Amino acid sequence: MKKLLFVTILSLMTFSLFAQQINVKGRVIGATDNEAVIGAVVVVVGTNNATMTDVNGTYSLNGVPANGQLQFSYSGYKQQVVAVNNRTTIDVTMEDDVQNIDEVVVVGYGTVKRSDLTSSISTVKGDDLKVTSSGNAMNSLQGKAAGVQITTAGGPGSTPRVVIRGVTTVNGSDPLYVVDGMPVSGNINFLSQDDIESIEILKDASASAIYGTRGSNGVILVTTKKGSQGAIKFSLSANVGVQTLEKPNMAKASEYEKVFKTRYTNDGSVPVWNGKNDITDAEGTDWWNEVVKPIALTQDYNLSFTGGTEKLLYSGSIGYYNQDANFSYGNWQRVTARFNTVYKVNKIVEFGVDLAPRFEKWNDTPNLFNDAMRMDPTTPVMRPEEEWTDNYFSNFSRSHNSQVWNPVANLARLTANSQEYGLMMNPYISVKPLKGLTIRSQFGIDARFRLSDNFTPSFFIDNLEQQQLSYVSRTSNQWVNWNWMNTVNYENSFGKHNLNLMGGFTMEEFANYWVSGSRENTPSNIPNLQFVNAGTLNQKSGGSNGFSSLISYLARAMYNYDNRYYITASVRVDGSSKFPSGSKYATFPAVSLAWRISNEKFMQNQNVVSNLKLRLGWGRVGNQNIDSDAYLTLIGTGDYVFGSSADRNLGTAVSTVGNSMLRWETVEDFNIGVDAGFLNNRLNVTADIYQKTSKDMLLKKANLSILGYPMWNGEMWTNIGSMQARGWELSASWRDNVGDFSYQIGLIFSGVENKALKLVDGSPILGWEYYGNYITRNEEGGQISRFYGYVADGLFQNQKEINAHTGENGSILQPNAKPGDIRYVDLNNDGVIDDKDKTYLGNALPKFTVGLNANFAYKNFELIANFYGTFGNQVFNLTNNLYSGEGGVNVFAGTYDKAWNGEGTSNFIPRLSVNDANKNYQTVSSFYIEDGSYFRCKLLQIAYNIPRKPASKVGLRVSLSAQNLFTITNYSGMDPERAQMGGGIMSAGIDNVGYPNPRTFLLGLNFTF
Amino acid sequence: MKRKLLSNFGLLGLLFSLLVLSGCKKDSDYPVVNDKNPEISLSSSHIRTEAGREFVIKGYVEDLNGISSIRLFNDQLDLDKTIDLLKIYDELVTKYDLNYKFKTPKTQQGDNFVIEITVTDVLGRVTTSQLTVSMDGDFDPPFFTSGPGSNVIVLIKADTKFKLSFSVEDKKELDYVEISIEELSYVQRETVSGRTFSFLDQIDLPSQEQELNLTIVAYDKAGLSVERKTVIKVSDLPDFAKMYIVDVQTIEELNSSLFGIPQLIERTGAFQYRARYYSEKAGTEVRFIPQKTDFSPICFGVDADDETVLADDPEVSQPIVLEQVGYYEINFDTKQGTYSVAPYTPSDIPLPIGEPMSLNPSDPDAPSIPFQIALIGAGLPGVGNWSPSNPFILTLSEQNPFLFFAEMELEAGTEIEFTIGPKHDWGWWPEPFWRFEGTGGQNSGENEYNVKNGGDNMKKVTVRKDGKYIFKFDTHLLRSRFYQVN
Repeated sequence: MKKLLFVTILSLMTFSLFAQQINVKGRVIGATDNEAVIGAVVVVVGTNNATMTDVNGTYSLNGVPANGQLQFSYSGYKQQVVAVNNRTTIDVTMEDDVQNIDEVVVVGYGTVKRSDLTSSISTVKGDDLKVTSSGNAMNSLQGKAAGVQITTAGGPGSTPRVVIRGVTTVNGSDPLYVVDGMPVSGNINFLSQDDIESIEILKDASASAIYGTRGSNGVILVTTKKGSQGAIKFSLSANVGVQTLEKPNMAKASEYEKVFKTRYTNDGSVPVWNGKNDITDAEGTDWWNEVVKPIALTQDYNLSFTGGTEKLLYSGSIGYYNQDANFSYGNWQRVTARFNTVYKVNKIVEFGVDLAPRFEKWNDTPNLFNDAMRMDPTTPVMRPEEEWTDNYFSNFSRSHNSQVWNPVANLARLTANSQEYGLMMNPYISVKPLKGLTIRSQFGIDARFRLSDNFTPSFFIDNLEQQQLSYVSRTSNQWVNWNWMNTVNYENSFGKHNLNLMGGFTMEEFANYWVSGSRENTPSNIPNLQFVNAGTLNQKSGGSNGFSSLISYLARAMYNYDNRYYITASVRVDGSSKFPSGSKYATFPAVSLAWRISNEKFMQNQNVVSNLKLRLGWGRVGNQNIDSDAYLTLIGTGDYVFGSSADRNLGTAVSTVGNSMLRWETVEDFNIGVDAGFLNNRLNVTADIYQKTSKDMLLKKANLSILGYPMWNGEMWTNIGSMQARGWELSASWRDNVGDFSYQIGLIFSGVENKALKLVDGSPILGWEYYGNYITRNEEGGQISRFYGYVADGLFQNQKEINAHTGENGSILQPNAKPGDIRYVDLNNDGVIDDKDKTYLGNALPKFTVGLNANFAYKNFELIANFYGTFGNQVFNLTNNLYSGEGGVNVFAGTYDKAWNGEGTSNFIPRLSVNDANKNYQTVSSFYIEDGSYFRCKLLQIAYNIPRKPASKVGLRVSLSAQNLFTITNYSGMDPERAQMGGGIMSAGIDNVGYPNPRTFLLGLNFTF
Repeated sequence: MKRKLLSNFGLLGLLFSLLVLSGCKKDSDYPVVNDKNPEISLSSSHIRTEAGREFVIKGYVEDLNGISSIRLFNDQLDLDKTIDLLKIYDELVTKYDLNYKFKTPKTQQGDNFVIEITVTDVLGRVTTSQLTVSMDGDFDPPFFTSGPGSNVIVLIKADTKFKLSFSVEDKKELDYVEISIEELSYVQRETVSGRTFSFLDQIDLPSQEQELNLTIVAYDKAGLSVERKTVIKVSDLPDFAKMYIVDVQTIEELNSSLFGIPQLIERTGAFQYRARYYSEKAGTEVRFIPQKTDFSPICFGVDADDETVLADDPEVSQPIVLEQVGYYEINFDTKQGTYSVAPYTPSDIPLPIGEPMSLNPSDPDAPSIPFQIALIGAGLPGVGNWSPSNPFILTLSEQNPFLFFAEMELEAGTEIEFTIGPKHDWGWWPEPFWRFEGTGGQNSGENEYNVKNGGDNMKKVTVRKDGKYIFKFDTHLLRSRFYQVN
């Protein structure tokens, strides 16, 4: 096409309009990557005098009028017209087209032009991801795609929680990840984000139904970089940075002592104080400083190359990523490589292979933040030297006044690490025997081998803090998954009729082989004896294989008339080994329609709306996220006590009750969307509303007792439940430039409400046990992950208020309360505080999320800012417990004064009490509820592109970045984002001090040559 | 256009006004039925009560316009309660039975209080009434602090006598006491003043086998009474099913424990008993009684005239003196009067107190804690309710590896029940544990001996007096006792 244009232009070159003519040369580069633009057409405006840029992006034109204009154009870039003004050298930087509506989008088992999309699919380019340095590309995706809720956590190798368009099952909310056509496990930590060309998120069922059984949570398609024709080009990027954590403000030794003793004296007891009286702060220990490192290093290097000829296209990369924990133990290192080659044998046959070996190594990062906060500050780290023994691990101090284990000792003892070798390989062959017909076969293998070692030394610090026998274990895990994918694609146009047909057949197998062994009592704790063979007691071993497989038939037809009326229909038939005979196969159909209004005649004579498309989609997708043997009845080992003897008798018993009627969990999805572009696509808006409803959701149901099954093992997977997610999405982006200043602003809003419609026998699903109660409750007809408990109505300020807190007939509602205790509301006014007074206190999942992404460029400077926030969600802040001093643990600084100590002194923090007879801190109540909304600067980056000579291929970009720089929130805990993760999607939003998102400062260099 | 805009604003204004007017229900929203103020009719204008006792404010309130709220107020009593009927009931209430209980603290100062009762109707009309509360009420009947049990056996002698001894007490003031034995036409009426009264009399009984019914009734000034009935069986020496060892010397001490004093011993055969006992101090004096609440009429001890045999008469029998600290075994025959006393050393293995106890023995990775035994139950001060993770720890005696004790401050009225078992941080109930056996109902307090890894639930005991109590448990003897120490 480009050549045709070129020839045409050349053929029209017949005369010159201008008398004074000069020769002009220069170089054309792209704005985003400063790379040469090869094949850009340069034409003298008003003439047919034209040329094209070469592989270095350079051009030369003779006979250019000195006062004329040059027009530069290339697909994917905005056309530019530049006045010559007697210049003989004109270098041009071409801006990306605002949104190239004809860009190719990867869909399941194929590609399609964006303008032809009938489904809800978001695309994020790899270039937009790699501005953020992260071990998992999903972290960088946060806030860049509407309808994709990503919640991140700190810590080396942490995996973010990714939820696409809400939750419709209790059996996992992770989407399906597909890398270059190969479905992979629910985590893409193994992938360097420098290798990613683009990520497509298939959000509605009309897009994801082609992935059938695994599409109910959405599908994330990752396409890695491929070679491009031209001379070899190299790119080296390096990001080095440090991560810091905000230090919580905990009480020092003197305040701790006062709080500790006051808890007893307030209850009329004598303090059981162990340690020096009137201790000074200087004599105490700052446990946070002892346990948490102020900075942790992170490094990300990547060297990549790409190039090719007409026959052979190639690309490759080698990357190294390292992230340290903010503890002295805990680290994740990853070495990745990727080699993608395509060989075109002739015009018909093409084959290629994507080869991606990798190596990962990690030391398990502990979570000792909680212990560092709770540890008694009057306790020294080590015992007096005169008490030391030969065993180093026994020389640490026991907490003087609490049961918290010494966190520094914990760190010192840690030896838990894993090494993993992996290889992903995707060879394929593609044959195009006829015009428009493509036959493709791809056989992918994803193999991993992991070796995990663990050693716990023997030590004795105290009767309550000891390990009598050292323990050593080794586990070997192998996963070998393969995927054979065969597709036939036919694409052609017949006049105004455009057709794209696809049919396919796939086979997949997932295999896991594991073996583990352990022993106790090594002769010593020294590293040379930290092997299973060194253990002398209690030898144990185990091992097994696990398999599951999937066979699928798929088909899709896409048709449009005159690029105005579109219809897409797809169907997938999946057969899974996870289901019993008769239920193994299920069919997942989908259909979607689109009307591209902007292509109608009545839209032609205007220049405001440049693109307008209405979409409508329906589909069914499935979920098979259950154990491979869920339909089988199994027998396992067990023990039982018979009669009055205390002996446990070993034997076998039913361990799993299978369900021979088990079938697929399906989700039905409706989607209505609109895509619009305005002002020559400088402003783009996409809006969607959707509803996803699951049925036959798999839940464990108890069997009848009369059948005689053991109570717990007698539960059986049953297709019984239903959930629903309803939501909306709105994204808008604006891109423009004013002279040398160009900018782009993207805004993303999305909201979703997740409801449980049907559960087992109408019983709620309760989550996160807390002192005999549960914090979250999911019940039929209600939203999921809501906090359920008592309403705390401030504190009793005096006895009169306690006496007045009665039922209608004077029954005291809280007989154990004293002034300074929490008042719980008798919601139903029945004169008793009981379960009937519990209510929903808040929702862990946000009402809506916001992403704001801005990019400003002025000449060689760039400023990139990414923000992400959630609104309308609450957090159950368990760290409020750190005002209690319960069990002698440390408290937040200022607790002594902030806690209620007389009428009017506080209406929030209860009195200090050792007995806590009112159970202020052991009751699930709104005392713990806080607004968890936040708006966070995820990335702020300033970059400078070193100017280079026009003919030079060498480019250098220097950047300074800050990730998680600041957060606007009312939440008092360490990290409102980490707090949202809680205990899984059905009991989210409980802050028990997980590893918070660190603030990271990075220096980045990007060198191309 | 302008006109349309104005009309739109006008419509908006109207809507806003409607919203404001309908948004909250004001007094004027209720229809006026009559112009009367609320009416209050109290059941009594004067309530007699006492510190620490609950009283009930009763009355009838009526207002046909609708009652909004009733406020009960007295600053000295820390009473300021508003019963918001509009909040409690969905329907408008026009007639209401006031029935509000209120308990004063034991430490309440003052004798008379006036409670102001204010009724407000939905129209804002108010009526106030007053109720006097005085602290001079008497609600507790007298109670026996000592006296004969429900069955006593008096041995036939040439001159058969029954030594009747009892004490009775009232919180306010006693009035009189009546004692009668119907079969003997024995009737005594003692007029009493003050809070306590003790009675002692030697009653002549016929020297022949028979049953006599003794009734003691004590009255206080408020007319409240307490009655105790005792069946006196006059007979030859019977073969007692139960025998108790007693190491206290007075009837008051004998009746002071929550349980465990006197302590049940073993019956080894007809008329034969074996008492195993731990003498905590040298020179401990012990005797044996078949009835639990009194030394009379039968108390076995060394015959003052012949130290080689036992006597059954409390006036004659002398305590057996245990010279040393340690375990003793005393065997005796009540018919023959023979007895033997010998110290011994238990062969049991003491509990491994302080040794590591795995929290889950079937999981080698489970953490351990030091083994401790404790009281796990309800009513124990400062610890959890039936919480093995937060129990009342028993302290091991420094002298005796089998003896555990716990001291605690208890308030009168507290109900206590527990099981003895190991502390467990996860709240599990591992073995060993000890429960109780004894006759009587669930609340009888009859906890006569312990059973390891078995037994029945402890019979709940109610603390009678504030004070410091000690609980002692002997893993060798499987006996426990719980009594006040001051």
